[in-house]
Order: sequence, then structure tokens, then C-alpha cells
Amino acid sequence: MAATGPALQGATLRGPRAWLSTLLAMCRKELTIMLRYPVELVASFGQILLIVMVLTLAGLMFSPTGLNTAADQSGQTAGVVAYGFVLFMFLSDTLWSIGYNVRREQKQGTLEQLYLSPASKFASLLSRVTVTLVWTGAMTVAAAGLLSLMLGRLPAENLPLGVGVLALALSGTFGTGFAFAALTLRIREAGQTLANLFQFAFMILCAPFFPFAALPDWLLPVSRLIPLAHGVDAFRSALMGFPAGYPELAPLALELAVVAAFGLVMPWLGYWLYRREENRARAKGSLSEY
Amino acid sequence: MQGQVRIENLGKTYHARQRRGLFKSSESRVEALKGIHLAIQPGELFGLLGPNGAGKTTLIKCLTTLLLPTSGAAWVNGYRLTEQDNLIRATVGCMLMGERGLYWKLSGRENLEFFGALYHLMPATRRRRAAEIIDLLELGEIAERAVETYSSGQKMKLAFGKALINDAPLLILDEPTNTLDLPSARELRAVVGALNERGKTVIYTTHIMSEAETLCDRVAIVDRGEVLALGSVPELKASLKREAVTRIEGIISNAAARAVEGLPGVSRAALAAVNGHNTLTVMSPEPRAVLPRLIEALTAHQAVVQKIVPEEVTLEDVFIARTGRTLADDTRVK
Repeated sequence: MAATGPALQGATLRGPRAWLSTLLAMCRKELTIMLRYPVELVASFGQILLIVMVLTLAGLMFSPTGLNTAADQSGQTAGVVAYGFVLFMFLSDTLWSIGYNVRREQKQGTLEQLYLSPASKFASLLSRVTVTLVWTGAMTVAAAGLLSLMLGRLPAENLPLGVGVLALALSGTFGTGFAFAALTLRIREAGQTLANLFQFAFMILCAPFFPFAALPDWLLPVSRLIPLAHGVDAFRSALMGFPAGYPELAPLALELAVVAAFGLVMPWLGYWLYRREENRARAKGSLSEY
Repeated sequence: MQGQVRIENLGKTYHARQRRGLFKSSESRVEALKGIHLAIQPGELFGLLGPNGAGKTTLIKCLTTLLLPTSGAAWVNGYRLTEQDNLIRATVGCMLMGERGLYWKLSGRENLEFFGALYHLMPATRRRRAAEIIDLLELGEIAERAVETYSSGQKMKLAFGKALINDAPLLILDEPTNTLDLPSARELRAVVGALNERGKTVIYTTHIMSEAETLCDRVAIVDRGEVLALGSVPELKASLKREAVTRIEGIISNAAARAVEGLPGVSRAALAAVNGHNTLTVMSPEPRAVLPRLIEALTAHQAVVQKIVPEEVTLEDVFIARTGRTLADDTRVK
């Protein structure tokens, strides 16, 4: 597809190159804008490190003899919390940040400009994800580093399997982010409150900061219905080297199947929901609504 | 019906839901476009003239694929609306919502290059095209500054430049001189005219009558979602050939205007407030005969008349003759 002005004949990209070039331009734009808010950038980084410290220090109440003892006695507990925290960070970021980004551009009026062009809408959503991935990834590495510093070396068994599970869980999480962006187009600012509600529900039902065994019996069947809960369970079980009682929700093969299905289906489902909502916004004329 | 843009019986109805309490809501229905028929020929500079709320922007948004029409069909650059939307987007340059369509944290040049990427221009072409536009619009001095530091007029200019980035054969400009000062507006109109002379088809919406008169080859006068009149500026003025226009300035109440409209020999009278003064536009086939009765009616309603000027017919008069209102009226459905 080409712009047809005489000055630009033959000067346009086509096919996958056009798609990739659009994606790169969008990512660059997102990163440039992010870097032009330096105070927010530094503050959000610092905030994550402080949260990690608060959680770790709170955990020390169960090990009054000190940090080293805590690390020796409860390397498993540290692993449960640390790896749950990794998934929690990605989920909380993607769940709201894609929708927030879309909503911000809707309010600014730039979302409508995007729809005036032939640029891929999938590339647009993906660019928001890519920046989140880079940013949250950097924060996760810093947070894991701080945890290791405070509690000693974290368990890291079965690394390839752990990374594979994380990749699939993230793919599914991004799909959930697309679906949430669709919802944000419809409910606008209420999306933030709803995202908070989902985050807290995730903190309980997907047990990122405690073992599933800590959940009341009547809640466990609900957790088993959530694919991301299997992602959390398989991820940390793999990295902790499958200690006794792990994985907690289902046999590993079943958990891997659930996580794979979640990672492969959710992005398309989320994107389909987004396109559906976008068509509704085009019918209503709300693409540039406050 | 042939043309670079063909619109057949295009309609758009909005359904708005109004919340009334936590669980109650009511639905309202607004017909923004009512069966529009138009054909715009290649190389034409076509004006859409109408007051705020007439349906101009809704029509533009339908043609640029931002809005889904409720009924009818349209073809833009030979591509059918709702079926070949991406081809339409690739071949149209559009300025809509002015400064709101820019990234304020990016510089002018970064904005242009970014939007060039959205039209799949090669990186070198993006840079060249951005530089050409910056030169054309004389934005060189501010091109590297963040858009948030621009004045409103500079933002509008850049938004106009953005519409040129893909060098499309069809330009759609929605009130591009809004918020521009007079010299900048004149410059921008000159650029639009030059682009049109180089072969670009332009659709230009405005509520400023003089813009449409000086710039456009043909004009469609739109009001309340309908095309009221269509033709070249001389044709539209000629449609009022038998009418003469008299403008009366002063302090004139609505009651006085209504009294004038009721006078025998007066076909239309419309009151508009301009710069704190009221201007009453009176149309009549026999202005000399009507004048004494007109002054009498105004005086009887305590009007203070400062000036009475017989004038040439303008496009605004065509609008007044068809609607009884002026272009300054806001006809948006609240």
C-alpha cells in the first residue's frame, strides 16, 4: 500500500518491512516521550526498589534472627515471593499501562490521528507493550538484584523452562492488556479503578506473594480456573527446582498446557476484542472523546 | 455520478446514552447527516460551508474512515468506504482537530517524521519530506523545539504540515485557519491555493464565508446535516439575483429583527452580533421601497441605527436566504 503523491512514488515500504518500520517508529516515539519526563522515570524506578525493601523487611518478622538466617532457612520462601513479584510487576504494568496509553492518546486527540493513517493497529498496541517490556524488565532485574543482596542468592534451577513459562505467561498477560485497552476505550477513566480491582484480585487468587497452600480451601478451585495462576505456579516451581509440594495447583504437564494455551490464544483474543471495541468507537464517534 | 470523491445518500445517526442515576439511563438520537449526495472532481478546491454543528466535521470524519456511516455509500480516490478503508487512509492527507493531533512532547520535526512512518515512508524519504514541509511552511526556526512550546498558530501550521506528509492526491482540511491570526491565515490559504494549482484536490471546511468565497471553486452550503445549496460561488450568488441585501448596524433587539422580517417586501431578516454591535441583514427584491417601513419598524422597537449599507450578495446571504439564520449561529444539538 502506497501513498500516491508524485513526489513519493516508489519511496514507500511494503509488506513486513512497512509493518516493522511502523512498529520501530512507534516504539521510538514512546521511548522518547518517556525520557522527556525524567523525574517520573527516576521516581518510578526508585519506588519499585522501595516496595521490594518493604516486602523483604516485612518478611523478616518471621525470621527475627536476621537476614542471613532468613535466607538460609527460607530460600524457598524468598523464591516464592521474588518470582511471584516478577509476574506481578509485569501484570500490573501491562494490565493498566496499555489501556492508560490508549486512553491518554484518546484524550490528547492523537489516537484519531493514528486512525487517519494506514498504520497497523496491532503494531500500535505492540509498541506500547514493547516499551513496557523493556522498562518493567529493567525494573525487575534491579528488584531481583536488591532481593539477592538482602536475602542471598535466589534459587535458579531449570532456567530454560522457567524462561519459557515466563515468556508464555507474559504473552498471555499482554493479550489481557489488549483486552483491557478495549475495555478502557469504552469505560474510560473507570478503567483505572477496575485495573486496581483486578490487580488486588490477582494478588489473592494468583498468590504471587505466598504459596497457594495459604489460600482457604474454598478459594483454591477459583485459582485453578485462572490460567495466570498456573503460570505463577509453574514459573516459581521450575526456578525453585520443584521442591516437595510444588507445583501446587495441578501436575506440571497440565500447568504447561494451560500456560501455553493462555500465551498463544490470549493475544489474538485480546486484539480481536480491541478491534471490536474500536469499531464500536468508530460507530459512536468516540475515538477522540474526553 | 463520477468524481474523486463520490457520496451517495450518506447518513449518520448518533445514539447517545445519558446516565440518570446509578441504574437509569435514557437514549437520545441525533441525525448528524441526512442523505448527503456529492461528487467532487479531480483538481477541485471544494468548500463545505456551514455554521458550527452543521455536520461538516461528521462528513469529513466519515470520508476519512474515522466514523462509520449509518447508511449510504461513498468512494474516495476510487476506493469504497468501509470496504477499502486502509487504501483510503493511504491516499488522503487530512488535517482534523488542529493542534490536538500532535505529540506535544516531541519536536515539530519529530512529529512530521513520526507521521511519515505511519504512512510507510522510507526513513530517508521521511526526513526529506519533513524538511520540505518545514521549508514550505517556514517552520525552520522552531522545528527542533518541543511542540508544547509553540503558539497556537504555530501548532496549527504544523498540524497542516502533517496533512502534507504523505503527499496525497486528496487533502481534507477541517477549519485549518481556526486560531490563526489574519496574516498567518492568509499565508496558509495561499499555500492551499498553490497546492491546488499543482493538481491536488482539496476539501476545505469552514464557517467563514469570505474564506470559501476567495478560495473555493465550488461550495456546498451545509446545515443540520443537509446540503442546502451547491455550486460555484457566482452560481450561488446568482441564485439570489432578484434579492438585494441591506445591512443595518446598531443596537437592535431580537423583537425588532422579527418585526422587520414580518414587513411586506422583506423576504428574510437575520440578526448577528459582531464585535459588540448587532448587524441586521435584510433581503428584499425592492430595497428602496422597503427602507422607510424598515426604519419605522426599527424605531418603533427602540432600535438605535448607526449605519445602513446596501451591499453585494455574499455566500452568507445565500445561507441566510435558505435558513433565516447566520453562519455565526451554533446549530449543534445540545
